[in-house]
Amino acid sequence: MTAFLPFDRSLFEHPAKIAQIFNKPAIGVLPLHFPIELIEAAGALPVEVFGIQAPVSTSDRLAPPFICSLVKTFLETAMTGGFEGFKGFAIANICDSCQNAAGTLHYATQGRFFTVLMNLSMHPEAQSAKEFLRHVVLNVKEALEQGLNTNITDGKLSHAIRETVRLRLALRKLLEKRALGPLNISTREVIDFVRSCWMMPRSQAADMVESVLPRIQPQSPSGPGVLLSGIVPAPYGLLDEIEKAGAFICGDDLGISWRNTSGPYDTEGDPIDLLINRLLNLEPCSTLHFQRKDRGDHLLERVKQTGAKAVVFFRLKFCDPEAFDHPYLKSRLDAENIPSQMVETDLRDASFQGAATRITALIESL
Amino acid sequence: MSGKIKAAETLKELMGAYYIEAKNAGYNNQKIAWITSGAPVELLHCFDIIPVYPENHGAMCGVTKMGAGLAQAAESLGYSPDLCAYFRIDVGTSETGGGPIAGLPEPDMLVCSNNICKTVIKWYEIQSRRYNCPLVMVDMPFCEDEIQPYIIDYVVNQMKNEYIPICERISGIKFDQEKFFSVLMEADRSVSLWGEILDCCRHKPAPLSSFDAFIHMGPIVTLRGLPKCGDYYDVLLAEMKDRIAQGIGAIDNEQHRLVWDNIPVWFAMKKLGGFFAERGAALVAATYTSSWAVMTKFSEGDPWKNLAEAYLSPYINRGFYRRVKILADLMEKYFADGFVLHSARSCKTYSFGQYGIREELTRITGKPGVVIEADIADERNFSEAQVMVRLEAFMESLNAE
Repeated sequence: MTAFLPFDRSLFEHPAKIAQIFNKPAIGVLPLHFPIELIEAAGALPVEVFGIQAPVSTSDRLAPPFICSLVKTFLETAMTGGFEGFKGFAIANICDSCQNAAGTLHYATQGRFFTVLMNLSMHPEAQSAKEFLRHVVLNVKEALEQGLNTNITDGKLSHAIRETVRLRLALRKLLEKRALGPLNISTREVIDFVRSCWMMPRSQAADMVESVLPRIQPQSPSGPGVLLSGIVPAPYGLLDEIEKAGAFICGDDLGISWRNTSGPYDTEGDPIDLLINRLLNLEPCSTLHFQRKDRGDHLLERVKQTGAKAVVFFRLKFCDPEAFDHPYLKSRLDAENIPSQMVETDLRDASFQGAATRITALIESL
Repeated sequence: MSGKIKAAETLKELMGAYYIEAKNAGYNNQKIAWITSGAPVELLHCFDIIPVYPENHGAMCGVTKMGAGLAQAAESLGYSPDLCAYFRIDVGTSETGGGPIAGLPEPDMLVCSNNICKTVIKWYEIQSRRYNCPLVMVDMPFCEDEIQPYIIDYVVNQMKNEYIPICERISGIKFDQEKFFSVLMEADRSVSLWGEILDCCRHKPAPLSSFDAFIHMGPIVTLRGLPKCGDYYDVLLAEMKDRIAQGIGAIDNEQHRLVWDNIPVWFAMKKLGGFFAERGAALVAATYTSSWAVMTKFSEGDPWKNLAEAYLSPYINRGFYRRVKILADLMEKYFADGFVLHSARSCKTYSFGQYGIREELTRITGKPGVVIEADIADERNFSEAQVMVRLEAFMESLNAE
């Protein structure tokens, strides 16, 4: 599977080198939920960085120790030249750390990159949320047009939406195959593959996934299926440990994969309306706030869809949204007699023996 | 010359009476709403719903050093010790009925605004499930720089179409525009008085310090919109004017004037207050206390828009460069010669950015600053020796200026 990757796995640590491969003006995107279609429509490359595993030292000057490694390593990369050649950064304010990262990034890089911080609606069910988001999306569009010195036409935006939806649907097909049995590639390779799609032109990524899909097939399961939840299943080496313990990953609810491929998948109509509609109707996520959609219900539904026998929560240390949700989600699983295990991790963890032991114990108990 | 603030006794009685009323709400057929410190409380007063502030209670737990124990009760339910101490204390209080006032009265509804952080959204969702009561979420978007009219409209719309109907349903009282205006007038009065009190610190020596203001801000947070709030601040302001006339300062021999950023280290107030006082340093302004002084003129022009704008404007809802400007303005206004930034482990919104702010603020003002790492209410996250060494070094640099 590694052979399917559009670039070497080591380049995940070097966004600037990835941007060079695709020869486009690049925007560094801090996950999740930024409407990257606008960046694509501006003719730029949205490079969504789901963490860098390099050690952190430079960013300690500007970030306190209690910031999650996803945000901190993004800042570190910016401060150490890892985004050289990029034009700017795009961030949706999904959490307090992401929100504050925008100003610090701008300050840390002395304004050499433009930074777009986008407000999501934290109350998407409010009557006025749609109108609010219209202003937000149009402001983001204008900021990108200014930063990239271009015009985003309706035609370009519609095309970007179609291609992004094509990618999301293709990835969903790939991710859904796991429910049928262990794939002929490892989960780590699947996640790497998905991760690469968020760092390349979405049109090319969609072509790549569609071409690879027929070659990825489920095998007969020889162990129990496990569902993963969290933002990123990092450190990624832990995924190998789950499979070594005799289980297979039958599905996930991860930010990097399942949530980032959330619908709605509409492609017809006014492109701004389509973006707003998606933002209002995303699937439940720890970083979103719905009063009529329950994340516990959603997780149980995912367990049912995938036939999972257990759930492993990957909680990045200092990731507040996930930390708040975990006790509730666990209680919902407990009520259905679905065992789960939470591992608290850091992207930069070189040693994860303790977490691996807990996961192994969970799998052995199934 | 320094001396204790006499109004402190009145404050104790006022806040005591408030908590007694809230605790007895059930007996008096009154409704309770738990509300975040940045949510528009004025609307609750229109329906005679008693607001209760878990954050205020968290601060009380911090001061009385009961925070860690209650936080641990939440941690035993699976909540990470890295989450906000106020949240953990609130959940721990719900779970155990502990704390300095033996638990908070159960809520009939919850009101939450994210202009202070996103933590409160998750926190109030959790408590809404626990108490099975409605949650009013007034989304107050982050305003990096200017507050745009469409954001104001969004907030106004939520207050009118989401907040009021739930208050009407819970209280059984119809919204009354006249009552709303009278509450806003009272809120204006209190906020103006609070601003005047803080402005007394422009005087040398400052008649009260930020450590005093942290305590005396109780009414502006919890009773804003009620006549008793303004009445109390009339008393406090008169005392401050009297202290200025008599040359009474918050500390003896004021030599340095400092600005504080962030929520206090509630459990170490006495220690830190003593440290600064012994070194002749008065904390003359704080971004935290002044956040309730910028909420002015609710009642002029379009009150709804003014209310929304006021609630969008506090320091903590603003971006990096706006924060630097607010701090620089405070430094200038209060004639400060240094600043202390409290990096609070509980509060990412307040704290992430402070290291850059320190650099930038020093560049702009030429004044030194220090960052201390501590917490708001969980004393386990406080290394006294480390903090004191850092502050000592800062004071030495200040003396060398």
